[in-house]
Amino acid sequence: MKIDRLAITAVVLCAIVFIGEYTTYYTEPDDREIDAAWNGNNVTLTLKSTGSDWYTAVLFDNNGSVPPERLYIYTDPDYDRFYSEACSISGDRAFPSYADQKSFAEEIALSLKVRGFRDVSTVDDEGLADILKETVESPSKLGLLVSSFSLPSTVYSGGSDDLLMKWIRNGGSLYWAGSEIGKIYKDSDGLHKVDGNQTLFFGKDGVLNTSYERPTEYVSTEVVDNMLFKALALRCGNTKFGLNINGMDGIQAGFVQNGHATVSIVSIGKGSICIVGGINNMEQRDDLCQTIASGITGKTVVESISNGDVTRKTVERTIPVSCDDPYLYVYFGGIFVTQGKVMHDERVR
Amino acid sequence: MSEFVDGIKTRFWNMSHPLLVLVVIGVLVRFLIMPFAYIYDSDYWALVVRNIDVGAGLYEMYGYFYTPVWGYVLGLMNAIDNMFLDLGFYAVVIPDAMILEGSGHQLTATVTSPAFNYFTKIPLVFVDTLTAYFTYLLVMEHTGDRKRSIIAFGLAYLCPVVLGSAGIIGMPDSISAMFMMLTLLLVFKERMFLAGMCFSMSILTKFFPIFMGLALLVYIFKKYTEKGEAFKQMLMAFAGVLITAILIFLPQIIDGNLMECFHFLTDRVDGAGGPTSPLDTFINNSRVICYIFIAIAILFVTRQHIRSTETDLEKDLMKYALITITLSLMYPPTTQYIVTLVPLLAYYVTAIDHRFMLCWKVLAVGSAITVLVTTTTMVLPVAEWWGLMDVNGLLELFKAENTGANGITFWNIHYVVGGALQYLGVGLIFVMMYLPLIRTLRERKARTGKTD
Repeated sequence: MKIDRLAITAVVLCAIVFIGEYTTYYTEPDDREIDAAWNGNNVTLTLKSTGSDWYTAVLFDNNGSVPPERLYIYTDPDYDRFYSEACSISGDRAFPSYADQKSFAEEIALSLKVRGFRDVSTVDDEGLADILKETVESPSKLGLLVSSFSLPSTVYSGGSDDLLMKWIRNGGSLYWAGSEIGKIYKDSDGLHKVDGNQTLFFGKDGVLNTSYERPTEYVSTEVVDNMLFKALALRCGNTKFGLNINGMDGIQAGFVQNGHATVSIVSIGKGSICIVGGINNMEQRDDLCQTIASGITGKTVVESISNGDVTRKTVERTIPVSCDDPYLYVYFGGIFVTQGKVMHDERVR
Repeated sequence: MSEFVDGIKTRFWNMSHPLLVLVVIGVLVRFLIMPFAYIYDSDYWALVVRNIDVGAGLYEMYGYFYTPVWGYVLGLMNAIDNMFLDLGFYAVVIPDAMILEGSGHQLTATVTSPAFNYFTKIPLVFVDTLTAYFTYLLVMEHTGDRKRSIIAFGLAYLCPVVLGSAGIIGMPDSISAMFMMLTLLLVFKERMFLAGMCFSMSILTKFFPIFMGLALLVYIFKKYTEKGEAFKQMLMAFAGVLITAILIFLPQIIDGNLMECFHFLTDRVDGAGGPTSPLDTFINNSRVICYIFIAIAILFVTRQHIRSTETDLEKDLMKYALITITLSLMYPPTTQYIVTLVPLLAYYVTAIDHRFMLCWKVLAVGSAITVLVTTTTMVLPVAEWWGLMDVNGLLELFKAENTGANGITFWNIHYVVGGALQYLGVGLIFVMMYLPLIRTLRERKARTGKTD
């Protein structure tokens, strides 16, 4: 190889990397479109992509239960300061999974945006109290996501008449991940343990999975038998803090271990509580986002799942509808979702 | 048909260029093993490609922990996929494979498709071929012996370390090695700006070649003895390094998230959290402590390089490049980290001291054993997507491998044996390099003692 060829080789190889940089940052993402037209007993789905894409379309019945359309993510400003103490309070088997509050909220907001759920805001202690006070009379279509081990005493201190409890009963949707729900609250004196927290939220004790010391012991191979695992491409197999809904009004999805599932949604009054089990990792976050973005509720029943190729083309597909409160969640990419959208037939059927 | 097949056979066996035969063998072996995967890593590559695909770049969403070069290669591949290919779904979750996540090893039940595995590894086939060719050129330049050069090509191209890293694990260390060897070639050809560019690319893929930076500087100052010439050459090289680094980091500089590119230096694993034991703290800090010692050792080696009386400066640089890269691997390396060492070792064996073939052999055996530890899980893509093997049978084998008291399992023993051999291979380079020096020093000391 002559010297010039060597120089050219070096330039070409560097140029290839720079072209990769250009395609990574300076080209528009593929144009993807998802639309649906409800026609009596059918829904006609129109999908378009200018890139390499496969879609999944999930038709389900929410049986009159309304999913949230706006989500508030609580970011605990005292999380790092109190994390070690929270681990001590919770004990060896129920210590919370660490979740950097800011990056967790950013990650969830971005992942939801990809899935078509864009109305997301973060709230701190003060913001949380304000939002719950403002909306407590009519919190329908509102969701609150908590990844902290504690809530401020202004909204929750272990009492059934606390602002948070009223908010849920009046129609709010609470999503909880990474710790035992309602176990700890905080005020100016620090953290406080709540006894009977599981009974307070679910009417009985021992319903959350905190049986083992090591996180790996919570991993299950058994899937909840109701199509939701396949429908939402769920992937978290860790059932730590997972809820056993035996005797409750709700549904489960994903993986299950001794009745404790990775995703459980129960109806509480007019609202709901969704517990997403496992530790804070990408699998858990993906499942959380699929659960929220898809619009499933504690009364969801999957009617059909379809998927297919939409690579560099427009696809039209008609899906029969036989349920009364149909929702259609369509997403591209399978496990690695690149775009999603949930659509609802607003007409009374 | 038969004539056609016979024709191909005849042409193949009559090929006059031995390099071509080695390339054909290397490509065939790679295409056979590329559908396999370290499912934990390939799962992350799928996530990175998804993040790029939705316009989130490399660091806006969770999933990419390295400096950007490999991410840009994945970005290019993603663009090619969107323009010309149809890979389908990248991965599925196998419920029964959840036992892998419960095993305590870095494994996942999310199994990428063979198509996706090919997709991410095909660039590495070209890269490995070029790396071996650059090794061939260096040996040819310094020895003029074609036979030795061809052997060097084979040692660099068919080493199990490289096959395992690029062909199975799917790691970008091969890119780092390629740019490192190209840097050396360009330095010898007095193309300092381009050499700086390639060196920058190399260390911004994987950081190991940075440890030979001082050896390069010593070479420049020894080579260019005219007043001011060494500084001029050095400035050209630095300009290449700097301009390339700025161009590579430009999106992150604009976005204000430059520090995200260096996430690999700290922690990248999210998960359980919980109380931290003193042992955890020690393990977490041991790498930092080890690299401090390595940095100090490299200063001593540089001193030795400066004082070296070797007149063949090129060979001397290759020697010290090998020593410094070896030193950088003194913190027990995973197989892919050793990739940057392989072409330097192949050069050393063929151009300077053939006795170092022993190190190559130990590394080859050690890495082959280490890579094969995960056989039952690495073949899962082929089992699940192509149905060529029974998934449950493989998982039963995995369970059997991981059954044992107090962590004494076949899997762990297999891993320890492979890892120890790999480490022995790395350490042996150092020992063989410095054994004559130690002997000389002892003899000198003994003579001094007698005189006294």
